[in-house]
Amino acid sequence: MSQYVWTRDLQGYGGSPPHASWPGGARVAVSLVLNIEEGAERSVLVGDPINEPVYDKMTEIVGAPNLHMLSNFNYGPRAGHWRVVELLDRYGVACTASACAQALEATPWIAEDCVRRGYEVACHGYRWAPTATLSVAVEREQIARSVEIIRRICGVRPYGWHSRNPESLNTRRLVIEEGGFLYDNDSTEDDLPYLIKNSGREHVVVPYTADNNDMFMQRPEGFYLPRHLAEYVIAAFDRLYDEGANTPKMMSIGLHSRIIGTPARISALEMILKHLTSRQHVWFATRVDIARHWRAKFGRTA
Amino acid sequence: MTYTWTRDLRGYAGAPPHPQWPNGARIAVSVVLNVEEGAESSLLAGDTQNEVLYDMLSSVQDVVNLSMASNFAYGARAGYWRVADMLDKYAVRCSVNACAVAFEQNPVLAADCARRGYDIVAHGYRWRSHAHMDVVEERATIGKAVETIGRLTGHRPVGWQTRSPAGLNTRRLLIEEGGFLYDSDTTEDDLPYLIDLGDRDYVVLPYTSDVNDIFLQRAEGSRLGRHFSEHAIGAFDWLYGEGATSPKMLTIALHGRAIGRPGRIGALEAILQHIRSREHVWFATRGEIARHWIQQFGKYGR
Repeated sequence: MSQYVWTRDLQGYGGSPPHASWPGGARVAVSLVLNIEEGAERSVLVGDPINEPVYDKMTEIVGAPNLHMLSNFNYGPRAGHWRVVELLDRYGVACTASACAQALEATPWIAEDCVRRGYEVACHGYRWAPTATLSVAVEREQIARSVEIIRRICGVRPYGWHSRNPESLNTRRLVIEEGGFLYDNDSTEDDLPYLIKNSGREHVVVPYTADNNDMFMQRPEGFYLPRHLAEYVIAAFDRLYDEGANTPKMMSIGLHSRIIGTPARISALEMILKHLTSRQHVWFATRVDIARHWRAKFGRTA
Repeated sequence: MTYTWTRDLRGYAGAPPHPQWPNGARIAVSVVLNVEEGAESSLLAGDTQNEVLYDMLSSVQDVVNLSMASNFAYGARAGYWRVADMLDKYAVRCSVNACAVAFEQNPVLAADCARRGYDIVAHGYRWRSHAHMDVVEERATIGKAVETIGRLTGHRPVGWQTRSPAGLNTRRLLIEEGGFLYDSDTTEDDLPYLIDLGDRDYVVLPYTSDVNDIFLQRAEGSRLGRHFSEHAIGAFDWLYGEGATSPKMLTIALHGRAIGRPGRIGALEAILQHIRSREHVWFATRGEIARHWIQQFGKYGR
């Protein structure tokens, strides 16, 4: 194997994070992320070597399409999406739709709906598949194609990028090289964004969350009951809210319409939104707003 | 290998029809009791592997697994009767998702289902996915299942559900067989939908990956009966709320070997007690829901 070149920063803000100075003196910035992946997942049906295995998986099917898995995914755009967005609207919170370009191609009405509701549409890769092993050429082409598709369907290009993890060693470089992205989420390593300054531009890394995520409602190490997910997320919020008296942070909440959008699970989102919107000094922000704020505050031009 | 399969990610696109359930019901509740015991995979029955979906303490694949066989047998011998009595106590007529071989191996149970007036749905010949079956084998399997269930219960099934996943040919073969009104080989929606066959209507009646007692024995579920009932009641309450303007259906999936244990049956009672305490609930069999849907929305009448 070749040698890998990668600089890992284990220090970050070294225990002294900057004051985020969120708008309105907010104590915490909350970023709700609605992932749109359905139609972009792997399936033997469309020529992939495997069927997507990440779901309430009853049976692994090798060498034939798994129609059950596809049906579980179908639930997202057909039924779950509408339940989730109506709830977000009811609480009037900002949302970033993190969309696989291929999923938007398959469900353009979902794209339209997100745009109509004023969501930011960010790019979650071309397909919902890890990019860790892609060659540079393929990855560069996928990034460009994804931007074009989202621009065509949504009328505006994406400013944020998020690979289905894990990304490759080249992803960030290629995303910056593309030229139009302000930020990426390919990181779970901090509670605050940071700038990549030596990129010729000021690219913002806006950390995502490996923990406040409805994905854990279908994983063995996660939560079966809605109130358990809600309790976990609310605890995270409360802690950051306390810390925010001196050192405001940001918080991401990852959602999927095929998961949180079922009748058995949706109440978790309502419990979370009810709690978060009951507090003062909370900035519900899209990720691009957070990235712009960070550049304005801490960038060269700040 | 190229596959032909049209996937519908749109469905009712956020504007589902009003189902006009009988008597102005806000929700249709379909209780499904799966009878699979005796039809599961086992080296004992000449299969190449033992069934693995269970509270599995040790996986045995090189020899017959008598413990697994015994765990399943509990469902047929003891669990079924406890569940059936509980359903009677709350005057709920369920749909029995019956594998033909499970009925063949336990004709007393088959006769009991018929005697109680349960709606008998064909759940395959054996408890096996059809994902890898060739057309000839699958056609024969469907025919054998219909014949066996008809012989043992006196009723030919008009509904079908494959142990997931179904194959790409399953629905076409069910339609071709001629006697089926509907299948439940989907989890993609909260409402049924129709397929226009040119001379009759065919109903797709969604099943649930969500409210299913199988999660009492899975790592991503919960061991506690009251967690299962809370999960199910949460789903009911949410749909009941939506039902004020947009009624849906709720499927509650049960298995004698899972919910039929003394430590778990209380969950079913809690669920039924809660749902029975609400007005405007239509407890319906799947056959009744399919016929209602055809009456309400069908092109050809029935």
